[in-house]
Amino acid sequence: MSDELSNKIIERIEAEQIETIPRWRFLFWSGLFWLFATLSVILGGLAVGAMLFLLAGQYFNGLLVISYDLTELLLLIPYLWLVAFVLFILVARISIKYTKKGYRYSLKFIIFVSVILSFVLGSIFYFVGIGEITHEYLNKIPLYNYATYDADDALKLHQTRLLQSQ
Amino acid sequence: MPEETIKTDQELVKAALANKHAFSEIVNRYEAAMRRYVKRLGCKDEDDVNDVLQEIFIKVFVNLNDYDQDLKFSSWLYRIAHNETISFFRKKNIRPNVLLMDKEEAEGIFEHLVDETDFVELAKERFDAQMVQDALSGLPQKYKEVLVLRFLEEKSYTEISDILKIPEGTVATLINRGKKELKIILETKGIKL
Repeated sequence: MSDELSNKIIERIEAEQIETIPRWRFLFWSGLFWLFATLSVILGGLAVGAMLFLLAGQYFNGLLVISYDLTELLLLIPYLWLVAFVLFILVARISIKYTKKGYRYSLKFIIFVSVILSFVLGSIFYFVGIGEITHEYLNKIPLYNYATYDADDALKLHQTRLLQSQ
Repeated sequence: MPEETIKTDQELVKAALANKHAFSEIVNRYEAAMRRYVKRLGCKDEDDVNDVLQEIFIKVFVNLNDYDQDLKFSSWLYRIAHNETISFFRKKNIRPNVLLMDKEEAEGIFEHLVDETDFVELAKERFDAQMVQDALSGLPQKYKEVLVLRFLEEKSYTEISDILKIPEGTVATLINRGKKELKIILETKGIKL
């Protein structure tokens, strides 16, 4: 084997003063993608926690049982949180793909694990009251308030519909 | 005089990080394999091959700190070689044709398409190396690259997964589909399998 190519490469490295990229830079990017993935799963958990809070509120005041009106029931679904949940799962999937060994896992596996983790976290958030805190905190924002129906909103909606029908 | 021990790839990487001149050992160790692989991917012109090889090894040097010791060094190297070669084809707007080095390579591919028991007989009767090469070149890129890695470079599924950065399950699927497509192309060319 001739050393021609290796000589050329070493000469070029020296002539163009080519340096190796420092290790910390690779670690930084790898860490950043893991951070994104972790944050996405946590945010997905918050979305599930808030969804559980909204649905449980409507269930416990009996509204999910007494509402036979399909439009009314459809309004009660926390779409905003559902969309947010799907987005967080997608961000988690993309972030994991770009981590060092993320490519080894299939799309289905990553999505499955992210969804399970978000549901486990979301259930914990709901039971310790973080789901409610998230909802109450965001409820101060008009757009959020307009897009979601909590137990009180749903009850008011139901009463209005009852009055209209009488 | 003490016998010189052969350094592992990891030791060579460590040495190259400490001293640029030690990087030439990595180049010398892998030059032949990379040259063969770049050609197999479809780079025919010798000057182009040399240019691509330079870019591959420069990229390897620049990214040495990114090498993950859990991977085989050759897998990491093949990954860079694959990406550099594909980006070279894109830059030059070339549609690569797989290049088989010799008749044995074509036989190697052919052997994987038929049952071992039938192979010798079929090879004697219907084998045509040029046809196998043309058929391989006619495959979509995704199949071509896995078949080259599996049957010509003789890489394991795990290694192919690490080189192409796709899950092992996808590697298996691509190999199976690639073999089926290759069979169809060969059959349309008159080679009955």
